[in-house]
Amino acid sequence: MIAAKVKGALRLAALDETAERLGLACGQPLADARAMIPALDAVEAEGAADSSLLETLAGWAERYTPIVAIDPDNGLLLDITGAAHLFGGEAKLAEESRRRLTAQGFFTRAAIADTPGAASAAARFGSTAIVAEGGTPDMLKPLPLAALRLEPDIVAALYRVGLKRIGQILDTPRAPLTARFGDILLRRLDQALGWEEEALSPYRPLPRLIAEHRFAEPIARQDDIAATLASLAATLARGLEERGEGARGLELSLFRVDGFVARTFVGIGRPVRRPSLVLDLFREKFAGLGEEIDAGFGFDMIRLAVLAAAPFDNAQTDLGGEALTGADLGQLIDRIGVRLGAEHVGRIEARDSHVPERAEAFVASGEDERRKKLPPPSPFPSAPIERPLRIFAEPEPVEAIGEVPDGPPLNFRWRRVLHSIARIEGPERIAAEWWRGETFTRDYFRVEDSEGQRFWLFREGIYASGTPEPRWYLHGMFA
Amino acid sequence: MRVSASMAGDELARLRQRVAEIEGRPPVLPGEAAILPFGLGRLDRHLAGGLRRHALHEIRGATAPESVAAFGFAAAILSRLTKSDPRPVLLVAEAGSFGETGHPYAPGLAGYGLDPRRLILVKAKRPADALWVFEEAIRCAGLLAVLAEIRGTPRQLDLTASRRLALRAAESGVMGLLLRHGSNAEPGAADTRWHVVPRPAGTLQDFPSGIGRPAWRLDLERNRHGPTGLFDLEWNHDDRSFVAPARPALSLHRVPLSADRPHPSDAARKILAFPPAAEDPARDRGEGEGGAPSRRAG
Repeated sequence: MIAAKVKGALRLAALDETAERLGLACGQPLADARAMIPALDAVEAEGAADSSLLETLAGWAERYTPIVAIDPDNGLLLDITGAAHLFGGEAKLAEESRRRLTAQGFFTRAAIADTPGAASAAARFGSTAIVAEGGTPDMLKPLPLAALRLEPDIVAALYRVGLKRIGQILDTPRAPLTARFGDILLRRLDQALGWEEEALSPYRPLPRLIAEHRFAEPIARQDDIAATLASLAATLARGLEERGEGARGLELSLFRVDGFVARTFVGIGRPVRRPSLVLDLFREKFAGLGEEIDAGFGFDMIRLAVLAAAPFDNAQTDLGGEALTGADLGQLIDRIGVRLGAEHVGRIEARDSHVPERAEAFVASGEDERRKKLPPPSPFPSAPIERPLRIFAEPEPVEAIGEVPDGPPLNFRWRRVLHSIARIEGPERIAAEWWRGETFTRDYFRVEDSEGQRFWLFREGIYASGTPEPRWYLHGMFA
Repeated sequence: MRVSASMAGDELARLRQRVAEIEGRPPVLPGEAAILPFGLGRLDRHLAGGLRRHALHEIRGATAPESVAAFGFAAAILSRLTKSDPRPVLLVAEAGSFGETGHPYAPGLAGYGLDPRRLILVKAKRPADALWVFEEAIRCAGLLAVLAEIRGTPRQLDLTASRRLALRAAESGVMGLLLRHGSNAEPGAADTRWHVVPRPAGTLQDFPSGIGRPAWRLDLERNRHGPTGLFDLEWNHDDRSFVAPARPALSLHRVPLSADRPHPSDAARKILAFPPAAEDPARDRGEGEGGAPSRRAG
């Protein structure tokens, strides 16, 4: 028994069979139900958990067709056009899917009809599991209006004027209905009857191409999965070749017997087609993940889908393969990106800012490169190097002794080692970029200690009354 | 294909070149071009010409400042490599080492004479990943060189791994620089191994009060082409050349750690004097660039 808050009152949202037998109904206030049956066991509804469960189920349902939509709040709509014969017909498909869901502990109803609206109505309110082609109006006529996926207040309004069954509004003139109840009523009706086209909106982006393999006996061994993946990739390669495309995003879905679906996505910088390359990319991906996918009792279906594709430059196709991979920088970056994560491969770019940490940025290889010219060369070509070779993301605090108020440091202690300063250049004052709302003031010094090690130190803050004591930091190191 | 042993050397080289052309790789560099000279007479003579481009070189630093100096030395080598070759350089580092020694800083690199736009930076989480990237990248002839930063002595970087890396570099012609933070001298298959220690910089003529060029003491601990030794070096970021410091270091020679070196120890005992300050560094530089007109960096 699940209760949910609707319009400020706790109402029953879902019931089990026992509760139904006792005469309770959905929508009843919880207090009323408690009055009827004091020993009621009610649990508050968890909408988020329910919808995520439904999404997981939608993922599972992809085993039947790639087009799976969520029918709120508790249904799934599958477009099985052209897919039913793979399961031995519509009846077998419906039966098989219900059997599997029941095994997972769900109470289910299923119906197959010409339109999403009719299927939804038949599953929730009808008695026919499979509505014959063209039989939709006859099936709908005796059903209540709530079957049309209407808002409860529209159903209530229709009820008040005596319209209770779908059959009744089928015979009613349309214009007054629209005027009275809005166009949603007739649109839903037309959609259910197939007079108006309704496209399912899949809960996940539709793949461009898929290849899949089902197993009578679940498989779990890595080699078997790799072999299957190779054959799927070969199938996809043919499909891609026909379209003149290469894959830029691939998804491998492993459907576990118990309903769990493990998905692995590989994004690729340059379109690929060659199965061996695809296999390599997934191998890197799994190696980089560092953890194995729990095979449980095995996978009974494997699907490889192309989620993104791009025109394939035919000049790239292999001349025996191996030779080309050696020199191809793009492929190398892809392989690294797949294994370590594309966000870890990139370039460091100089940026236009005088605050040291903002004067550069790491740009991952996938992102658009904002090419920027380097700052012009120093007008004094033989001047000392001004910026350190390495910099700390977080300046490291040091204990420094320097002349007050604004003299250079004499020595400093960094990581417990005392460095006595032999030579010094500075200060170079760098102030905050006030337009960002910052207020710091830093005096940078290039220093060399007595051993010849060169550091970039700064003092943040100034000696003045009412300001915090200045502090010393080490920001970078020179070669 | 089997090549008969009697085939003349240059014919073999020509065939290799042809194979490389067919495979779309940059040609195997013959003789001279396969060596990157330092442009300093004595050092180049020690190394029989300079650094081999199709080989693995190890550069190490024991402490954080040493590691940064080692990175500076590596960056200087890369800067000289990139002078005449448009291919990019891949730099892979264990991201953990950035906390230790900081991360490469784009404005700093630019000022140092290495264009940061030529670098592809890869941040690896684990040493195994970094080594994997190193090995994959060093096979890729689309790269000019690969610099890998590894902390300490990871289990994966054993002698076998080191040999494999050296072999890959030899096959592809991509120079491999293995930068090791906080590591000791260990056996490996590297062509050369350097221990870099920063030393006080000199002063610049126009900035007498300032800190001069980056200066190091290089301990060439391993050298397959000649004796080991200590060298003092400075980096001229402006025309991207190595120069001998005004005050040269003591030239010490030591018996190399590894016994399998081609040169027996009698060579190592010979005392070699480092060029005095008076020797014009410009002459050394001229050698280094092969007579090409020197170019201002920018």
